[in-house]
Amino acid sequence: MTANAPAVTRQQVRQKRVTARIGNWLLGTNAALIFGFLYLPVVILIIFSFNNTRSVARFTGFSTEWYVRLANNSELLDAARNSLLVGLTTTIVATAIGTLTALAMDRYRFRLRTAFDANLYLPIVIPEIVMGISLLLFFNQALFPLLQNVFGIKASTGLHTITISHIAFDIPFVYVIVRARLADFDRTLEEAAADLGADEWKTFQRVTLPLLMPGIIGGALMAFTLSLDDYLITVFTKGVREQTMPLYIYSLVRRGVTPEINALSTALLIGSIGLVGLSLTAQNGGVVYTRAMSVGAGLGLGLYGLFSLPTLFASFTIGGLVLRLLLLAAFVWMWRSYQPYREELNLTNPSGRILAWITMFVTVSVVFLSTLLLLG
Amino acid sequence: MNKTLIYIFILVSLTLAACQPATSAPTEPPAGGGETTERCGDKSQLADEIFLYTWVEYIDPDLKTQFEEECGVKVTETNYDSNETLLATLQAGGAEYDIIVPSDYMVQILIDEGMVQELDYNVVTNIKNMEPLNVNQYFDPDQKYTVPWFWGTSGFAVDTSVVTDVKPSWDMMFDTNSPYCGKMSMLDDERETIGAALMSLGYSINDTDPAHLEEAKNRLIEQSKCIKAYDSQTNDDLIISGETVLGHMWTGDAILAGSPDAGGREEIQYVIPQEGCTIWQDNMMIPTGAPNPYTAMVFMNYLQYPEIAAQNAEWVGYATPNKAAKEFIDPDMLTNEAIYPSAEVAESLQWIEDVGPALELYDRIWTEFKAAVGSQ
Amino acid sequence: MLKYFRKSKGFQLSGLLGPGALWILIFFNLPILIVLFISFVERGRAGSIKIPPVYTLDNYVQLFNACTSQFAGPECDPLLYVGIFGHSVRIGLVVTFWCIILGYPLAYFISKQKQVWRDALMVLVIIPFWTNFLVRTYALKQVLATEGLLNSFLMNVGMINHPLDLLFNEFAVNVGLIYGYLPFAILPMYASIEKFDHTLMEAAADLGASPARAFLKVMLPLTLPGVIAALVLVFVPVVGAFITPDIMGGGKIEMIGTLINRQFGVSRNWPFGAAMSLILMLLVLIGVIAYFRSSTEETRRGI
Repeated sequence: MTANAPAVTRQQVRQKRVTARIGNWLLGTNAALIFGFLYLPVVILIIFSFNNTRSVARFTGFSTEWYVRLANNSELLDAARNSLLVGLTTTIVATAIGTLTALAMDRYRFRLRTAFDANLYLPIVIPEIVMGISLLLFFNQALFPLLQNVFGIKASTGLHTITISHIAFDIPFVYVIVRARLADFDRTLEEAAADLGADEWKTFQRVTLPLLMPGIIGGALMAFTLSLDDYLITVFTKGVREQTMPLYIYSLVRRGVTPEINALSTALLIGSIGLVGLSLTAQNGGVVYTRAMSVGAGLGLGLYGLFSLPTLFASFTIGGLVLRLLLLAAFVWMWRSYQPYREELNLTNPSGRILAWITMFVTVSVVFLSTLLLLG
Repeated sequence: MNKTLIYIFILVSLTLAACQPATSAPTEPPAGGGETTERCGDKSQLADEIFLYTWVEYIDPDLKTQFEEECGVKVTETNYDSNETLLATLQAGGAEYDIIVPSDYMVQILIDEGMVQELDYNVVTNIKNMEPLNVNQYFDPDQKYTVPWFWGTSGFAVDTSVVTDVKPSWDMMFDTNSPYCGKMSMLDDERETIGAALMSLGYSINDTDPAHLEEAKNRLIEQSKCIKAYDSQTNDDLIISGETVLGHMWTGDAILAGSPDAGGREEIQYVIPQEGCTIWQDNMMIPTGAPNPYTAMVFMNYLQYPEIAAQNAEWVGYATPNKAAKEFIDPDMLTNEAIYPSAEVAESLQWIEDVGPALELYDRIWTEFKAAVGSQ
Repeated sequence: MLKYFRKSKGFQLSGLLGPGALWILIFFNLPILIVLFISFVERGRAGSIKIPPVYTLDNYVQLFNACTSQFAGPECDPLLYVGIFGHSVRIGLVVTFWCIILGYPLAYFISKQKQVWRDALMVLVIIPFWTNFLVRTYALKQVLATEGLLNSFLMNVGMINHPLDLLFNEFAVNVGLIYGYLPFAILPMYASIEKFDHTLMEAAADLGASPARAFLKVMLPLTLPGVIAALVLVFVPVVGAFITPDIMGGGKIEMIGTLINRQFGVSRNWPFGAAMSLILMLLVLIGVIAYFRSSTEETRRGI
C-alpha cells in the first residue's frame, strides 16, 4: 500500500504543521475565553465581598467588615459545615453506587434492562420541588411510620434524610458520566490481564478502575457540586435543627443577599483553589514537597487538637477523647516525618527550599482551618 | 509514612467527628445557675430547647442569647423563604417546630386546616401591648391563635431625583405614556401584582370576578412594555442604581433603598397609593404537635416586653405592632411614614386574603399574562 | 464454593446493580408513586389534596387543552400550557447547543495537556460552581446590566453609543443557563474525549484526510457517547429550570419550571403541579431515549 501512496510533498508537510499550529492556537484561545467566562462572575463576586455597604450590585468602597461578620456568624458557619459534611458523604456514596451501576448496566444483559436504564434517568428529569415534597411525604407518611410500627425505631428528618435524598438524585448523574466513559471500553485489556493471571478483583483494581478514573472523578465532582448547592430538595427533607448553606442563603433572599455570602463563597473558593494548588505541587514537584505536606498536615491536625482541648475539658465525650488521641498521634507522626523532610530539604536547591517551606505552612493553615470548620 | 496512611487517617478522624453530637461546641450552662426572672414564667415547666422556624434575619440574635441566659432555654432557629414552603413542610407532617411565623392569609389557612393550636393568653400576657390595628384582624378575629410579630405595606418606591411630580396613585405605575416608561419594576408575585392592577382599577385586592381579573390582566399586559423587570428580590438594587425610577416594593426594601447607610440614596422615597395598597402582617403561632408549647409561649411573651420588642424592632427594621415598645424606639423611626403610616392612610390599606378555589383563576390569569409578556 | 458463587453472573450482577437499584427504588420510585397519586386528585385548600380524595383527570386534560378548565376565559388559548412547554424546549435546545459547541473544544484542550494539569484543570472548571448559585447569578447580572461590565467595556472601546439591553430578556436567560450548565456538558464530554487516542487523528491526516474530515469521521463518532451524555445532562435540567430564568429574565420569561414551582408555591395546587411534572418527565424521557437509540444505532452502523 505504501508503495502506491503518493509521496508527501514538503509543502504538504508545512501546510499540515501550520494548520496544526493554528488549530492549537484556536483551541488555546477558546479555552482561555471560556475559563474567562466561567471566572468573570467569580471575580465580580469576590470584589463585592469587600463592599462597604450591604449592596451586592453597587460597589461603593472597600471594607473587610463582611469577613468579620462571617467569622462571627456561627449560624452561617454551622450551615456551611453541614453542607460540606453532607456533600462529602453524598459524593463518596453516590459515586461508588453510580459507578457500580454503570458497570452493571454496561456489561450485563438481563430482562427489563431498558426499563431499568430509563428509570435511572428519571431523577435527572424530575423537577426538584416535586422530588423534595414527595420525599418528605414518603418519609413522614410511609417510611417513618413503618419503622416505628415494625421495628420500633422513632425516626425523624435531619441531616441523614438530607444526605439520603442527595444521594438519590446524585446517583443518575454519576451513572450517566461513568457510562459515557465505559462506552467502547476496550475489553481486550481486561482479557489480557486475565490471561496474565490476574483474578477479577485485581483486574478491576489495576486495569478497569484506573481507566475509568476520569469518568469517576467527573461524576464525583458533579455529585459534590449538585449537593453543595441544592436548595429545593434540602428544604423539605431537613429536620428542625440543621441548616445547610443554600438554605440559609436562599431564605436571605427576602431581605436581600448581603456581601457576607460573597465572603463565604470567596473563602470556599480560595480553599478549593488552595487544595488544587497543593495537589499540583505534590504531583509535579519532587519528594520534598510531599514530605512538606506530610509535616504540614500532621502539624495542622496536632494544632487543632491542642486548640480544641478546652472543649474536651468542658464537655467530655468518648468520641471526643478518641479524636484528641488520634490528633495527638498525628502530631507524633509529624514529628517522625520531620527528619526525612529535613534530609530532603538539604538535597534541594535554595529556591526549592523556600517553596517547600511555603508549601508546609500553607498545608498547616489549610488543614487547621478545614478541620476547624468541619469539626467545630 | 505514605499517602495511603494520610488518607485513612483523615477519613477516620472525619468519621469520628461525624459521630459526635451535632453541636460539638458545648453550650455554656446558663449564668447564675437556677435563678430565672419573672419574665421566664414557671421555671419547672420550661424545656431545654425550642425550635423556631421563621423568616431569615427576623429576630435579633442577641435576644435569643439573652433568653438563653435569663431563662436557660436554647432557641434553635431555621429559616424558610416563603409561606408556602412553611405550609408544605407542615402538611407533609413530621417536622416538630415550636414556633412558626406565617403571614396573614397563611394564618387563616393554617387555622382552618387545624394545623395550629390555640394560645394561652394567661402566659402570653403581653398581648395587651398590641396596637388595635394589629389584633383581631380577619385572619384571627377572636385573637386566639396568634401573637403579631411585624407588619408592613407594599406600595412603590420613587426616585425623587428623577421623578418630580410624585402622585400617591397607582397611575404613576400604570401610565403607559409616562416619560418613565421602561424604567419601572413591579413585584413578581401573583397576588401582589395582580392585586396592584385590581386596586388601580378600583377593585378589591381579593376580587374573584373573572371579568375584573381579565381587566386586570389586560392592564398588566399593556403595562408590561414599560416594565424593565418583574422582581421581588433585587428591585431595591435596580432603583438605587438608577436602572428603574419607579419600583413596586415592600416597605423593608424601600427603606433600605432610601437609607445611605445601607447603600441606598436619600432621594428614594416610599409612596402608598391612595386607591389601595397591601398591608401584611407576620404572626407567631404554635403548630399542633409542637413538642414544647409552654416554653414557646413563654418565649413569645418574653419577646413582647416593651424594651425587648423595641430592641428587636430596631434591629429588624420593620414596623412593630407593640404599642408599649414604641416608647423605647428611636423617634426618627417612628415618624418615618414609610414604616408607620398615618391613621388615614391606614384606612385604605387592604389585606390579602385567601381567595379559595378562585386561586386557580388567579394562577390561570398570571400564566396567561406571563405567556403574553414572554412572547412580545 | 465461594469462588463459584463469586463467578456466577447472577451474584455479580446483583452485587453491582443492587445498591443503585435499591436506593433508587426506595428513595425515588416510591415517592414518585405518591406524586402519581396526587396528580389524579383534586386540590385541597391548603394545596395538597382534598381529604377524602376526589379523583379527577382534569389536571392532565387542562395541560393539553387549557380551555377545558372552569376558569378559562372567553378568549382562552387552548395551547397555553403546550406553548409554554414548547418555549422551554426551545430554550433548552439553544442552551444545549451552545454548551456542547463551547464545551467540546475546551474538553479537547484539557485532554491534550499533561496528566497532572488535566485533573487540576477539570477541578478548576468546576470550582466556580462551588460558590453559591444565587451570588453567582447576581454577579452574572452585573456583567450584563446597563451599567455593567459588558456595556461599560463596549462603550469605552467605542463600539456602541447606548448601552445594550442585555438583561431581563430571553438573551439573558440563555446566557445565564449556558453559564450554569457548561460544566454539566464539559464533564461527560471530557470523560469520553480523554480516552480518545489522538494518534488516530494523525493517522487520518497521514491517509490524506483534511482536519475537518478527520474530526467528523474519526474523533466525533468515537467521542459521541460523551456528547450524548452532555446533551442529556444539559437539556433535561434546563427545560425544568426556573430560578435562572426568573432572575436573568426579570420574570418575563415563563418556563415550565416556573409554572411547576408556582403550583407548589403561591398557587397551592399540588395536583396540577404533579401532573405537569409527570408529563414533563414522560415527554423528556421519551425524547431522550429516542434520540439515544437512534444515534447509537448510527454509530454502530458508521464504524
